[in-house]
Amino acid sequence: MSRSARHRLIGARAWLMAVAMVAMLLFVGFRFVDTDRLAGDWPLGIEHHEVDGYAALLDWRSDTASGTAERYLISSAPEACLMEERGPGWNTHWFEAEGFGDSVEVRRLRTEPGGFVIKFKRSEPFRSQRHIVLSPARVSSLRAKYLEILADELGLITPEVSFVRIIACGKDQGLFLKEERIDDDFLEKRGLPGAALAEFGHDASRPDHLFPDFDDDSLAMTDLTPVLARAYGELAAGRTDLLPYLVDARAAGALLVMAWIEHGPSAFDHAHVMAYDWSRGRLVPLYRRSRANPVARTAVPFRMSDPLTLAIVDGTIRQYVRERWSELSDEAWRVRERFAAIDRAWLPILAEGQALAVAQARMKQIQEELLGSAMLAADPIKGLEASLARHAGDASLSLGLETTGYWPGDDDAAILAGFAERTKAFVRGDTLVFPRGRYLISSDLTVPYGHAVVMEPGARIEIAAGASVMIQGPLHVRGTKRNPVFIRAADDGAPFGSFAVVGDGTTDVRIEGLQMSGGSEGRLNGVYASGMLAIHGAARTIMRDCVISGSHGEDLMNIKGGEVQLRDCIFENGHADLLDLDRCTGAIDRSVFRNGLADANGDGLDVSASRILVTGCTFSNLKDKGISVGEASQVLAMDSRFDGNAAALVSKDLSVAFASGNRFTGNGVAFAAYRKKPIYGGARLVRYTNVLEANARDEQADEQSAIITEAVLDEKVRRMFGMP
Amino acid sequence: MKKPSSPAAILRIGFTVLILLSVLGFAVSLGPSRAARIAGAAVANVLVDGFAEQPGEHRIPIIDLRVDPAALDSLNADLPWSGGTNVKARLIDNGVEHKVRYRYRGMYTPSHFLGGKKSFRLSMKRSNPWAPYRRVNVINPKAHNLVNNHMAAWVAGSMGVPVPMDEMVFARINGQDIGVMELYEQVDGDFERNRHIWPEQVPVYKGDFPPINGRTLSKGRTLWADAARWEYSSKADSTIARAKLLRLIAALRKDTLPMAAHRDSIAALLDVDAWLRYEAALLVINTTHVDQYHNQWLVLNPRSGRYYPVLWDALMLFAPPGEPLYYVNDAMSWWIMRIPEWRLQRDRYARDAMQRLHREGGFNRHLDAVVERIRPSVLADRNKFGNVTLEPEDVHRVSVLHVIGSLAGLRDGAAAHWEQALNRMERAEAVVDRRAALRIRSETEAPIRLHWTDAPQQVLVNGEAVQAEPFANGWTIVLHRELVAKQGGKDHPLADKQVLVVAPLDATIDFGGSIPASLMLTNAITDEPVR
Repeated sequence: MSRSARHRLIGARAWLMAVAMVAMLLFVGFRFVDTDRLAGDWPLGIEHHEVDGYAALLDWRSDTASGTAERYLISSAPEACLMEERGPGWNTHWFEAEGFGDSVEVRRLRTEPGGFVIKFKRSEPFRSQRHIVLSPARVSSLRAKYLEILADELGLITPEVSFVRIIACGKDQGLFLKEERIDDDFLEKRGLPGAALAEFGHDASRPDHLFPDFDDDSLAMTDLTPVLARAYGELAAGRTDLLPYLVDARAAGALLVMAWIEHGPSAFDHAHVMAYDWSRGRLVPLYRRSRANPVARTAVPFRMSDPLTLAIVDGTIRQYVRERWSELSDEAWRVRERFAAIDRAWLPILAEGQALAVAQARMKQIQEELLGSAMLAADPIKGLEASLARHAGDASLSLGLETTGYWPGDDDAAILAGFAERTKAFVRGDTLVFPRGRYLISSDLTVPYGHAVVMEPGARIEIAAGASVMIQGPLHVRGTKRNPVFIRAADDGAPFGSFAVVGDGTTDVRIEGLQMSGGSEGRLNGVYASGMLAIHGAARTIMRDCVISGSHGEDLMNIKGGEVQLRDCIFENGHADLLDLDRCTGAIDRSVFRNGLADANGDGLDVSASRILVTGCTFSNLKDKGISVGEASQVLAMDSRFDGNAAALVSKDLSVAFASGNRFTGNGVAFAAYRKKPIYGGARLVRYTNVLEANARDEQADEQSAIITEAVLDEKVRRMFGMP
Repeated sequence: MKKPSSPAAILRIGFTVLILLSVLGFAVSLGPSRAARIAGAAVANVLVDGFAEQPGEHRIPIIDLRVDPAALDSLNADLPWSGGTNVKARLIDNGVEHKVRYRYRGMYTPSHFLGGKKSFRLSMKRSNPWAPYRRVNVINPKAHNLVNNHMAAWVAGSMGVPVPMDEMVFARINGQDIGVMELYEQVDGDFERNRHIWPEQVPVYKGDFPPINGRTLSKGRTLWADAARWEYSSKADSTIARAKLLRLIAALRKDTLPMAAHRDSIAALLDVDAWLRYEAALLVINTTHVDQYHNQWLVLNPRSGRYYPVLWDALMLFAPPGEPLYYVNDAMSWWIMRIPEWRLQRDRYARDAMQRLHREGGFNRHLDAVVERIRPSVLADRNKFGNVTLEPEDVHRVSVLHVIGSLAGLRDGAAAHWEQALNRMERAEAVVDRRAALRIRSETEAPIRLHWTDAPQQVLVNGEAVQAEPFANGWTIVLHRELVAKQGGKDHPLADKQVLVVAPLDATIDFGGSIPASLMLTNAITDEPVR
């Protein structure tokens, strides 16, 4: 028997049968196959979005997701459409969100397809953000939110992430991942005002990765590049112990953990950002989700030897990595709960129209990748270790980059002994002691890390014009009212730089009976000190019976960080602000702030991101503000006098000032509240019982701020400032 | 009875005859060898490259360009003379269209402008996908030395020599795949700014063939003979740089002044260490493509006030195998070879590098990584072009076989060159005669270091007083080797393609008494004992 050679047509029934069988198979598959399996990887190049499409149609196990996200409306001029713009430059559009509407600049995101960067006006930021970055969101974009949670758990400074719906060109463009952009304003809000932002790439053969790319800060480049060049030389010779003097070691440890979680062994395929903190002279690693997917590189044999890749070699930072990793392992259950909360909030929105069960399974897989048992069993230190080199001509390009001056690990004892020999000071143990007598500091002096300085009554320190002193350990000034310690300019007409203490957060500073004048500000060892007397990074600063006067720089005195207790001090005649407190807590008692200089223009007490109790003080003849309370600070001023100031007590930028029992006489305005920096909001000022006499205006507030009058000082407020 | 042939068979026969005739025709007109090579390359391209199906995702960056086809046609119609003309183009990256300027480049070498993979240059705005670089060359690397220049840049960079940024890329123009190309930074005043070392432009001089004027290729000029032959390529103020260049050129002039005077003058104007690394790199990558006429850059280091070189278009293994240890690329090489302590330091840099690259396997590891990275792109590239004969105009499409051959050739050629150079540097044999004085004779090429602890600092070498230098609790001198021009060669800084050879050593060292018992002889390049 042979088959008929006649060509037979396939009939409609056969077609129908075939289609029905395939549909049935798909239905059964999507109805009964475990969602974890559906969410997993498929063979034959089947993509996730294809599976999602079928699942939305055929998986009836759960409801398809639905939810609502905040909407941003971006409208354009007639015949213009945001989505059709392709150039890299900025274009003007109208932006609307709940409670906000303004014209903004928008450009395409250069590092991820389909994304945008929106720039708001400096004077009108959007919810305290100057720039936001939008990129198209899918279910898997929740990973970015998980990473934000992890970075937050690790204590890293990281941009805020959320999801929004974009309406542009007259239609719904779908959901977008919204990220805060790291810029100057972002750094200021995170306690790094004025820090220089730098990007570090890690490819050993890329010349542009040799040194950090500082964002518009050529001073940072010229100041820091020689320091890094010298450090690389020493690190190449095996001295990695100096790395914690260059980089915030805790943050570096945390960032390495994040880099490991996000990218595993390919962590250094991606660039990282750090901010150079001028007040501490340290690079502070920040966490930013990698947007650009670098071209898949395979087994790059060498990584650029830089502060982050080297951090994995440094003993101190390795220890931080271990600690962070262990803490994260212990707390993984809690972090997973935070993930679950995020899923509940965002997954129905992101998986809109899709099968929720499949989306949930997919996110569980991502959570497992980030913080699952397999991940936690791995050793990040081993995984991140790489062969390090500095190719691309480093040896020749670093010629002439040598830095002079103090260097951590130089012979500290010899430095102190040398200085003691040149002056009449002496070294006792690890302490440099200035007994009664006269000392001339003729050039910059850096007291090595951890070494204390003691000044005994009757010590008179004279500092040459432009020279600065930096103490990197405890400072004890032991003068008295009758027998003070003097720090003066060697030449009356030529100010010295700064007398600065740069601590590590545990340093104690106790200053009694100090009379200081004739300085300005200084830059030494990569630290910028804005105060003639500057104290950065001390745990506690205690001052008694001091007279700080006559400076020519930005601040008469500046304290950054820690607890402050100031009593019976006089701050007078500064070129600008008299006492500037940044990120401090504590109290100022029975002190005088006054300015008799005709050309001065500054505040008496300038408080930023701090909580300070002011009692029994006098603020007089200040050309600007008696007390300026800014950047989300809280100040309680009690029983103080404000005489003849341009403005007496001013609350700004999300701050709250409380005033009780004070006397305000002859000021331009007694109370003021307003928003000065647009990235912050308005301010509040609460008036209790005060005496106001002959002030030009009693109070003044802008529309974002409020001045409230209350009768009795609240118990809660007293407690907030540690009062009984 | 024979069956009559079918029409299909007749067609097949006719087609074969046609092919044979055309091959014959080409063989007659081009010569059999040339025709065979061209035909072989074409056949290999069609047969072999076609097998690469779905080679996978690119692992190297993609340069996706849109250029007005009419503008391209216009440029193509007038190559190589249109090479200096820029046209507007758009570079697409992550969906963003960056405005760029596009022009062809490379008038002297036909592989840049013949064939379907033409070399070009992009000038971009400050914010561009390749920032901080604003001008990049994207060149046809020629399939038969696909990564030679890329690897030369890596080798030299790893030796501490300033090099341009250099990446292998996959180019697309107007949606059409152009293939694997080499992208590298165009050196200019931003050289240091691109490396984040200096915030402003720095003075840069280019030493190359003269700019083209009209429609004739210009002839090369001896660069180190006249400062006017160096083209200023920066927006930084050139006053001081120019004065220094004039002084440098004067210092390189051969005259009656002693060598030490020249050495000191040169050292005041050059970052000597950078230059010694550069000279060492030229030996290690075995190139003569940097010469008296072209491929030179001078950057004025704003911190030291001295010039340093940038390795440019070095083409690894450009020189034939077996080049001497002391090949004179240009006037600067001539002086560096003539100043013994500089020559020694150059040799030490070269030896260190060859040990790391060859003996410790650094080169092969990096080459493996590069090959792994370009593999999918090379397989996807159906547009491989290169010279298939020694005729410059024979730039034709070739195949992946040529690429494989080139990579193997690079690996083997480098290994052979390094093995040979290392052997010559490491061989140190001497005949030592200990009498009242010490007589050392050597036929090998390495300089010999003498060090001792228990004798005076001053010795007589061939009757001349020499002050020994302190060295590990004692004293040391180096018996540097005399270099002489190869027979028939000119011994002049500005002479072309000179070869210096090492003269045999015959030195008598008088310690002014007995020969110290602690005396040690070592190879001054390797610090190993002399046999």
